[in-house]
Order: sequence, then C-alpha cells, then structure tokens
Amino acid sequence: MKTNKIYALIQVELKKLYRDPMILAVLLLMPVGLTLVFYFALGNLYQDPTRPGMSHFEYLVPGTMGYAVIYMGMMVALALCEYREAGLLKRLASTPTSPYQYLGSLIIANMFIGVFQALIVLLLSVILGYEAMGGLPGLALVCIFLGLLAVTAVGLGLITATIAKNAGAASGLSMIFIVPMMIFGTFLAVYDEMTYNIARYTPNFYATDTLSRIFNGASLSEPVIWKNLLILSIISLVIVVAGIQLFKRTEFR
Amino acid sequence: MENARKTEIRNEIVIEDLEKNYGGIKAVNGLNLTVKKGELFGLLGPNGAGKTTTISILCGLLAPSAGSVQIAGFDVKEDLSKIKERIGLCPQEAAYYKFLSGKENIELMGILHGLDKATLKNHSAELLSQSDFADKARRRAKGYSGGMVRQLNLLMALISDPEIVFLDEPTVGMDARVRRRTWEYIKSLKDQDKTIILTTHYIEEAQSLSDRVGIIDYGELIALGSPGELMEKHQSRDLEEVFLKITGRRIAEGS
Ligand SMILES: Nc1ncnc2c1ncn2[C@@H]1O[C@H](COP(=O)(O)OP(=O)(O)OP(=O)(O)O)[C@@H](O)[C@H]1O
Ligand SMILES: [Mg+2]
Repeated sequence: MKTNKIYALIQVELKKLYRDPMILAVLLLMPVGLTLVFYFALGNLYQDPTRPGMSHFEYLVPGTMGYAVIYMGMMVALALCEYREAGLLKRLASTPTSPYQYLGSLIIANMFIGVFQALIVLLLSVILGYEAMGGLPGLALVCIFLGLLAVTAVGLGLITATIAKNAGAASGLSMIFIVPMMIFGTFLAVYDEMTYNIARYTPNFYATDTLSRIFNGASLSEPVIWKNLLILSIISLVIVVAGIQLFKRTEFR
Repeated sequence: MENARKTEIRNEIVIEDLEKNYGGIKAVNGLNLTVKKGELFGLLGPNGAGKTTTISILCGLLAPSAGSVQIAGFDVKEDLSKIKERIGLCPQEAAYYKFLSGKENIELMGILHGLDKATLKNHSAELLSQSDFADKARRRAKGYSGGMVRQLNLLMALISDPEIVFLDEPTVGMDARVRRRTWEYIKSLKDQDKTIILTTHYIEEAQSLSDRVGIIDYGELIALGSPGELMEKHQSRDLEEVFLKITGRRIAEGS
C-alpha cells in the first residue's frame, strides 16, 4: 500500500517534467547550454601547469555535472511554493499520507532527475571529446555521489521553500546557496589554496573532487574517494532531515 | 477505545468549545456542535465567519487554539491518521495538479487514500460516469473551464468513498444545470449514509439539501436547527430571510 503511494507520487513529479514543455526546456537547456558554452569558450584553453594536456573545459566537466544537480534545489523550492499556493499540499495533507511519504517521493524523483541531468552533461562532453575514465564501476560510483548531491539539493530546496513566502522569493533565495556552490564548489574548487579551502565548505565540492579523480583514472579504492563519500553522506543526511523537519511544519501536521 | 467509539457512534462529529485565534482575530470562538451519523449539516455564515477555518480543524489541517474535536469517535489531536482514512475534503479553493488529467487527479487521491487497484478502477469509472465531464476526463486539467475544475475538485474528494465528507462551497462557479445535478448527487451521498458538512453561500442549496443548518458569525454559532424550524422561529418565508435577519442583527447592534 505504502510503496504504491510513493510510486504514484514519484510518477506525478516525472509527468510534470515531460508534460510541461517550459520545465523540460529549462531542465535540458541548463546542462546542455552550460556544457556547450564551456566547450566553445574554454575548450582550447590549456593554462594550468598542474594539469598538462587538460583544457579548462575538461577541468570543468565534473563540476558542471555537480552544478546541474545542485540546480535542482531551486526547481524543488519553486515547485513546492507553487503547490503550496495552489492548496495542493493541504489537500495531500488531508489524506492518510504522511509528510515523509510525500517528501520522500519528492526526493527520489529529484534524485532521478538530477542524476539524469548530470549524465546529459557527461554524455555531451564525451561526444565533444572529453575522456572519462573509471569504466562502469566508476560510473556507478559517480551516480551514487550525484544521487547524494541531489538529496542535498532537495534538502536545500525544502529549507528555501520553508522560508520563502512565494515562488518569486524562492528563486531569489535559492541563489544564496546556488551561487557560492557554483563559484567555489564547481569552478574554483581546485584553483588555488584559498579557493580550495572555501570550497571544502560546499557540499558539491565532494562530488566535484571525486568525479575529477575517477574520470582522471584514479583507483576506486583511493581513500580520499571514500572519505568524500562519508562526508557527502553526512552533509546530505543533515541537510535533508533539517529540510523535511522545517518544511513539514508549514503545511503538514 | 472501541467501546467509546460504539457509544458515540451516532454522534459522528463532536465539537466542544472550539477556538482558533489568528493573532488578535478569533476566527472560531467557542463553537459547540454535534453532527449525527448520516446527517447532512449545512454550515452557513457570512464571509469570514469561520466556516473554512472550522473545516480545516476538523480535517486536521489546522491545530485548534482551544477546545476538542472528535470525529467518528477519534480525537483530532490523538488519532488524526484514523480520521484521515475516513474523510474526504472538497476544499473551497480547487486544488489539483494542472499537468495531470482530471482522471489522473481523481485517481491519485484514491491512491493516497490507500485504495487497491481494483477498487480504484471501479470507483473511478463509477464517479466519472456520473459526472458531466467523463469525455474530457483524459484531458489535462490545465484546459478545464471554471465549472469543470469545480466538478473535478468535488470528485477528488469522493473517490475514496469516505464515510465523512466536508464540502466547502462545492458548487461555486457551476452553471445552473450542473449545480442542480450536483445537488442531486450530494443527496445521493446522503442516501449512502455518509455524514456531510456542507458550506455554501447559495442558501436555497442549504435549505433544500440540509437536515439541519448551523449559522455562524464571528466564529460563534448563532442559530441551529432544521431549515423548517429556523424559518418558523424567525417567521421567515425561506432560509435566506432567516440568514439576513440574524446575521444583519449583529451588524445593526454594532457588535
Ligand atoms: N491564515 C490566516 N491568517 C490570519 N487570519 C486568517 C487566516 N485564515 C483565516 N483568517 C481569518 O479568519 C476568519 C475566518 O476565515 P474563514 O476563511 O474561516 O471564513 P469563511 O467563513 O470560510 O469565509 P468565506 O465565506 O469567505 O469563505 C477571517 O476573519 C479570516 O480573515
Ligand atoms: Mg470559506
């Protein structure tokens, strides 16, 4: 019975995607557009002495994948604000469905969507000449990191939707977490000592760092990767639990 | 617990000294009300009287500031999930997913009420065959007219075949013909022994459908009885006159 509810709610979120052309466009354009821009702008830039033979575009691929996932946080915040304004959350709350079932299905749906978006970035980059190593086991581990990052993003979206009164405010507020994560966790993560130290406080750094290592051919048994996994797991758990606890009080009792 | 349920079973909804404050506003102010099983109770009152607030508390969507509510023998503070299994809510503002079809919206509510697949299919087919938009039920709700949205809003509340139904202005925006059909439909729900609380600003609707009517104003119950009793007591031709007389009095008194 319970799985049935969660399955149905996941389907609703996925249907929204492929039925609303605007949302689908935003979700596809963002990773595709970003990848293309970096490719054409930075594909021929080989400046970094520590990474000989690697263009700036190639350096950015893992971070862009993480960013595509983080961006979901804003989409979740917007959707929740819209549902709330439409009275839908109240309506769901009047049924024998717990907030954990509802928000849990939201998290699962957005894990799929987030990972999917990141894989679009990867696929397009590979088509454009990016060489990703790691093989299938590496890719599986990459997906786990992206999934955890998606959980973090949904958690941040829940917190945003709790604070924001409406969808407009939510998109503005989302920038507070998206911009620092984009600048430090994605683009400047390993730029120099200072940005590295700041980046370590952004959740997506742990995904960016791991993805870079795996795609550059690091052994999957490298301790840093598993340390990153542990840290990201803890971050995502803390943020998503906080998000659920805060948000459920706004519409569910 | 089971015993308590049995002895109180005739009183399906028991509201005692219910209060809800929003800052300084007393949206519900010491409401006492009992609705019997199988009764269709019309809850009337001017705009802002506290009807929607009361219904929201009964459905567990709002916490009362004071007082108690028992539904089907269960306390809203303690056994909310048991209550939610038994109720259907048709909210004042239609709430539905625009990107889903009418049928999908209706069936989602059934799933969330825990219906199994076969029951869901049966209920859904039955509901749609009785409704006016069976042929449009597969279209996205985004394109529905105002009246169709209202019908959808009502059907979403009924798919689970709830014992207790809260209808908050269910017929607003429906054309005269659809509204009459909906009245007939609400009557048929009563014949299935469902307990119904109906709010409406179409007083004739309340008059023709309700077993009993309660009029509230400023969150207080100011009249209670069958439409006939109230018309007699207030020497009025119809319920609308009663409504105007007793809700107008307070304004005249300046209270
Ligand atoms: N969330 C809220 N915050 C503050 N005040 C509120 C809130 N919700 C309702 N109120 C106030 O509570 C009172 C009762 O509102 P309610 O919606 O219950 O009235 P109603 O009888 O349903 O009116 P209507 O016929 O217009 O639907 C009103 O004064 C309203 O302004
Ligand atoms: Mg109302």
